[in-house]
Amino acid sequence: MKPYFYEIKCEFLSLLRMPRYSVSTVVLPLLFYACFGISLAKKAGSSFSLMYLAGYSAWGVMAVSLWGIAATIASERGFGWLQVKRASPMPPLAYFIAKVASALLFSTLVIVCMFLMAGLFGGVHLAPSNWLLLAVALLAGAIPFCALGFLLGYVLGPTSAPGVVNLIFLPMMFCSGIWIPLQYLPEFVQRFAPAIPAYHFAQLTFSIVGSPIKTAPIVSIEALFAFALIFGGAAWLAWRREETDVFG
Amino acid sequence: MIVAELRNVTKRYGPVTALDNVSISVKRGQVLALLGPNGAGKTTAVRLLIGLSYPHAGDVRVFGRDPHEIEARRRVGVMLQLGRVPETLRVREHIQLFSSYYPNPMPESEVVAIAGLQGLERRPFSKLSGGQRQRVLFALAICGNPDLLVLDEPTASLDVESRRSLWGNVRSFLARGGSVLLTTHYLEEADALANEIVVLSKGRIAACGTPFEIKSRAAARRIRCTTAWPVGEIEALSGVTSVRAEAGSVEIMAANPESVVRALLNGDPSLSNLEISGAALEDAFLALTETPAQPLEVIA
Repeated sequence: MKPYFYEIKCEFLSLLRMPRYSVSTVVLPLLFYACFGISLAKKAGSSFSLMYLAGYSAWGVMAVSLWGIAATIASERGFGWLQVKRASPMPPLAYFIAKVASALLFSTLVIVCMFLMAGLFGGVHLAPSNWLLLAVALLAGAIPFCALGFLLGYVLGPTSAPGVVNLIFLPMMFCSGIWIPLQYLPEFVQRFAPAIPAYHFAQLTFSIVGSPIKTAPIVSIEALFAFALIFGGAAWLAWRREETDVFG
Repeated sequence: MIVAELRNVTKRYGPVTALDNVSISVKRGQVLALLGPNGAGKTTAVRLLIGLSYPHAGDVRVFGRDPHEIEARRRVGVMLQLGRVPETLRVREHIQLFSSYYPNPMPESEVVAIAGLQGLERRPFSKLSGGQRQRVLFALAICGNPDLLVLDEPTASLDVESRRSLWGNVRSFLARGGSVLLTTHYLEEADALANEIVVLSKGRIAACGTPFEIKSRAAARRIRCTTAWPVGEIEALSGVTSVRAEAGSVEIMAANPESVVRALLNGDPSLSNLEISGAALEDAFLALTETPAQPLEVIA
């Protein structure tokens, strides 16, 4: 168990000490929630606060999963660090487990901070079972984005990764209905949205806090499951290709 | 006993043949240096031995096993040429992580002592100098108490002082027993550490031998002439490494052709057909010593 423990510890600490990562993924959604969720709740009632709690928590979870995994793997592959690890007797699974565990730890951090803010300042009242359900849905919803992170990490170069991840992440967030409610988005975006994993993640969390939804929760769960399989399978192929030696 | 070997290995990258039917073996207790210019195939040989790639032909064995097996990896420590290392982790955290991969790691204090990292344990990697960084990578290679240490160009980007200090670290590791395979493009480095040198050039073995043999061959010139001098007397001249008489002329290998020729001419006014040329290995070593900072005279 020792290598797994140290691998997770090092992965988490190394990201936590990188302000470029921890601030942009954890602090940004919290800051937005403070601006919109809390202040709007005072004017327009707690339904906004609830929707923003669900949406911005999902935003934070997606950001920590995607960035934390895609950017680190691309850099570790591209600059040779992964080769040193592969040459060592590190259990190969430890590397993957540490990436996922670290993403889940950061997600937990996002969820705890967000819940505290919503409960203390956002005027949000949820039944304990709904708090729990929301937390579980947020953590489980991290998995397809971890898989996407692995896929991008294994196909992108170290210098292009941050740019490309942004190029995928920002439009995905725009179409998800989290930043801008779906009914205010252009017609074609609304039609296109169900093809995007972030949309289903948002719909699922909205359904738990009782915000209006367009897609039934069971459909969103199935879609997220399918995305996890597709991204995970593609990531596995990319990993196989590298393992059997195209590298260098 | 052989701890690691390449047997008739061929490895291609696309149209480029990186290794062409090469056999190399590291014996227990030995320090073997792979010497050669960039592109000679050194790093390819290392990647095969540490299980990062597969040969197109031939066989690679480490402690009698396929180097991809975890049991083989547990007995090998590796230091590679790297672009970037997780910068925010501290030296101690790096060492603890890599120690956790091995069944019988060295105590941390011992790793720190051998790698010369005392006082730097809490320093983040980003705050280290170039020489200190290399010593951390060296620490990660030895922390698992390996029986074989593989060092790929361990001092390539270092100044003379850091280079010498890292050589000291390697010697401290050797004092505990164990074998080392290192690659370098400095003859001086191979000479300082190794007891056997294999010279690679364009994917083939250009020469192999002890550092003394390689150095004398590297420096030698071939002198050919027709002379009345007896072979035995020529051999006694200083700087002459070998003399061969053939069909009326003699062929002399010497590290200092000028003084040998001067002595020959002084002693034999009838000497004729004088010809001086670089030895066959010369070309390989010219390529090796292209780095201006390391002129051949200094090395030899």
